[in-house]
Amino acid sequence: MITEFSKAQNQIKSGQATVKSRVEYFLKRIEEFDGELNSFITITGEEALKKAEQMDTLFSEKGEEVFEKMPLFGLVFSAKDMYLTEGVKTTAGSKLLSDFVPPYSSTVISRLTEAGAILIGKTNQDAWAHGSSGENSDFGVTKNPWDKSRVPGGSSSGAAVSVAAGFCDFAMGTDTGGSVRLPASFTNVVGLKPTYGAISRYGVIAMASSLDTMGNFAISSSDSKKIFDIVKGQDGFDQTVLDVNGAAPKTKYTIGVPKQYFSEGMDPSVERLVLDAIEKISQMGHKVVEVELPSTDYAISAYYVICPAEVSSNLGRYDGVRMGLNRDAFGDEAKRRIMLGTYVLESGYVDAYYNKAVAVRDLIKSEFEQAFSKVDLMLAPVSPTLPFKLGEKSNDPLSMYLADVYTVAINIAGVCALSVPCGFSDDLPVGLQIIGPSFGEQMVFDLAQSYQEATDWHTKSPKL
Amino acid sequence: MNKYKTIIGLEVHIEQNTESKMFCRCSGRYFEKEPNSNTCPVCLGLPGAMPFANRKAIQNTILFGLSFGCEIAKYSKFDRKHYFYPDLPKSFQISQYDLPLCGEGVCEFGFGKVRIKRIHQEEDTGKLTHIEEAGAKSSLVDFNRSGVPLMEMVTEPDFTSADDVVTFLKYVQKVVRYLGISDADMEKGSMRLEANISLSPDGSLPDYKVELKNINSFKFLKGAIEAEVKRQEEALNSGEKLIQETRGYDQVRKKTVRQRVKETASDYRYFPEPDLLPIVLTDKDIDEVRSRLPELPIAKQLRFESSFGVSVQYAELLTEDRDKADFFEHLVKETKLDPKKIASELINNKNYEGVSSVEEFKRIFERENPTLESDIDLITGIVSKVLEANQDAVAKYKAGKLEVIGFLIGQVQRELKGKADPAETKKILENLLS
Amino acid sequence: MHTVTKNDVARVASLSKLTLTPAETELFEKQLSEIVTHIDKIATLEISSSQKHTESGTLLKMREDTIDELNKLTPNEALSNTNSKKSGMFEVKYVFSQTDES
Repeated sequence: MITEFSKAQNQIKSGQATVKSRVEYFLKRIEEFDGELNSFITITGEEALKKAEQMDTLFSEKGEEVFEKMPLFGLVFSAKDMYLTEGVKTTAGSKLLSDFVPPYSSTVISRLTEAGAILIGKTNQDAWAHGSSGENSDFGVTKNPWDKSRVPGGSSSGAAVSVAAGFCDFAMGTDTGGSVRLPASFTNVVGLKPTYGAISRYGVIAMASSLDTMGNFAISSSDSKKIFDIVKGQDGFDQTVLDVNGAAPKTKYTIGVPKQYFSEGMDPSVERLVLDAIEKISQMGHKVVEVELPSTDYAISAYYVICPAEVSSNLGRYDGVRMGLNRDAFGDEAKRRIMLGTYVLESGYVDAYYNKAVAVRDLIKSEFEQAFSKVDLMLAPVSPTLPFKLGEKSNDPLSMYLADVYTVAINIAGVCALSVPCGFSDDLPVGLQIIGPSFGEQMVFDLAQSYQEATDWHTKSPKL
Repeated sequence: MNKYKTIIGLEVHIEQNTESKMFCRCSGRYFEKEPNSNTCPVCLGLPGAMPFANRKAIQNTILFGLSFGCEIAKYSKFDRKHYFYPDLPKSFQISQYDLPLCGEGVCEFGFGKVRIKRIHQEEDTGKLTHIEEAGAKSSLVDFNRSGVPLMEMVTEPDFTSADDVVTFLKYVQKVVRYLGISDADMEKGSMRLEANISLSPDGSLPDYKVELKNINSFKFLKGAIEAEVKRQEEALNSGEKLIQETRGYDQVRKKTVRQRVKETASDYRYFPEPDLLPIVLTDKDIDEVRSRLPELPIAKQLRFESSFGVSVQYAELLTEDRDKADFFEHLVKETKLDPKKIASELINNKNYEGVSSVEEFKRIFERENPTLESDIDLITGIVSKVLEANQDAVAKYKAGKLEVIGFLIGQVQRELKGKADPAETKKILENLLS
Repeated sequence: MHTVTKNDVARVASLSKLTLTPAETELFEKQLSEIVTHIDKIATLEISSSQKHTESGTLLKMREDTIDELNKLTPNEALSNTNSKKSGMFEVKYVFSQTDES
């Protein structure tokens, strides 16, 4: 299959493009269009150009073997501003860290760079990854390139937009409750939420340590797989990472559709597009059955206990002593989550909330395990709605939290999922969620690839 | 006479001497290093960093627990203990809350039983120093110590006097040094003590306890506890109500003084550390650690008394540290000298300080005991005289009480002022008696 | 059913080391109440965590006791993101020592 990555690398191999000319092309596009979209916080153009020149020299000396040694040779990427980049400002989207220049890089960034990818900039996001719309950034809102009056989804808003708007070949985001899949769905790109424990979190600013995963955005699912294969695996810094070879791809899958994921309150146009996609996959020869995930209803509640509890703990280190400004620099949403987290962990409430949420997590995990004993994969919507208007939910935190209704349970269960473009309603993109068991990424990528080969939704790009 | 019963429970923190820190690969040796020269993103609590547990530190804590007869938990876990303090970089300490690595244990002492409540694994904080410039006070933080493995032992309130506490703590210190897992040096802070002290009129546990802290020397430990007991006694006698508080010791005035308590939260909001796996041990894991358990000082001391006839006092001194005890045993085996003689030489003669080889010992021994008599004729003459004078003993020997030979050797030594070669003497005695 | 009061907000803010304006206190009281009301649906569930022991022998997954200088920061790097330093240390407003001699 011809993918965006192979297209780009073929251009370099054939001399149609150089690494430098590609970086220049992206920088020019960013300059031209990102003023309005606001997907970047920091652009590392100078370093990227320098690196590109070195890589062009390397290619002229070594020839095509560089592509074997460095599978991402010449590809250009952006990273959400949660990823620490040595010597490059890393803000987490918060003014508290607006001058923070980390003395080390995250494992993911190091692995991508070693594989030949070039970082072009750090992308905008909801501060500390708290949010589902991208509006909660201290560096201004990011706009949806399909309709600039709408949100691109969050919290990895800038990362998704940087790929959707053609500012780079791929992007790294983080997904704690849907923060890769939701913006992928809202901007018509592929977005991976990997299995918890597949990729090291070392060097990525923690939101909720038991739920954070290192996801990516690309145009095609086989490109997403290529990124995943490079960054996964143990690094000696994150003890929760396991080297596991999950289930291998099959020719025919048994696919479950959880009936609890088609609830009331879902936008009918979203429901129709997702059901069409399921029908299409069934026509491709896969067996589609209904499955039950009965505790889905409790997922949001459990998530909004466990996540803030860990947030309150992880954000304690920002006291203005070793780095950043003092705690007054936290925005409203961070303060809200810190206080909610502190509340549910207080000795008087820990049994009613935190311990109960952990029990719900066990329950949800076992329901997913049960479902995956009957099916290989599951299909569901990513979001109950189309991309919403800027400002529509920003004063109502609870309704914002409910936007994650179809994504959070996947984080709670620790399994993997991919959002893949499945159509448009009123010129707004909709994503289909392919959910796999723990370490079932290869099956997820495989089904997504055959679906993308049979459809052309992902080839459509927004007019800027 | 004291009309109150003193009740003391202890919390002992011991810093391990592992090569690397508890959760990162920085050096575990921080003492007298340039400030903040022994840190990494993990122990400095930088964004994005997370802990990775040091297996050796866990095994050391298990070893410590086993040496106090503690039950080792097959399932334990790390928890985050939250409070804000400038020497705590993450705003939480990684510790163990409801499921400690080592559970209940018990240890017998001359004064009675000490029950161990628990021993758990945690990490040390950074170090604060305080300065005052132009009247303005501030505190400076050095994170070199941050993340060094700590073990916390908590006892039941089983102590009734300062002497018992000193005995116990000296034993704890001796044990960890035997195990080779810590220097347990109170002056350097690698062993820290908190004593919870209260006085009871009727033996039941009172509704207050005074936490005595920051005693950094054995020298002041006894005085500090006794001063606090005295203070409480006087207060109770004058009808004063005692309250829960933290006190330190003023070494000059020999009094305990109320300490300002750190202004931290009362609610630690514990929850399981999500960045670390729970500690799930197999029987094999525990047995492997158990096989590293050396003969403990109490057992060694008793064995020295019974096998070598060394006095209680000497046995205690010889088993003070493991190297000394091992060297003593080695000398007994290699020199064939009287163990009691070796013991008294080692303990009473400064010239043996730093001696670590048999040859060296022998050289000094011969220098210190220059006229060790091995003239067989001379000894034979003395032996004959001794046998003549001790017919009773000879009769007993002949009746099968072979141990009287020790007495006879002693008599010969007395004649020769201790300078007879004991092996030769014994040989001659045996010849003449057979 | 739990409701979040003004006192709760003040207590929790202080535990979290956050300083709130009166307007923020009022806003958070309302918003936290709404959220707590929503999450309350799990508080009444009659379940408890099983604390599964599926993994065993986790000692194997821990690291060797070795030093790695590569990850170490120089004092300059350690202090590179602070404005309040003195004599190679981080300077903070005076606090009482918790473990050291005062």
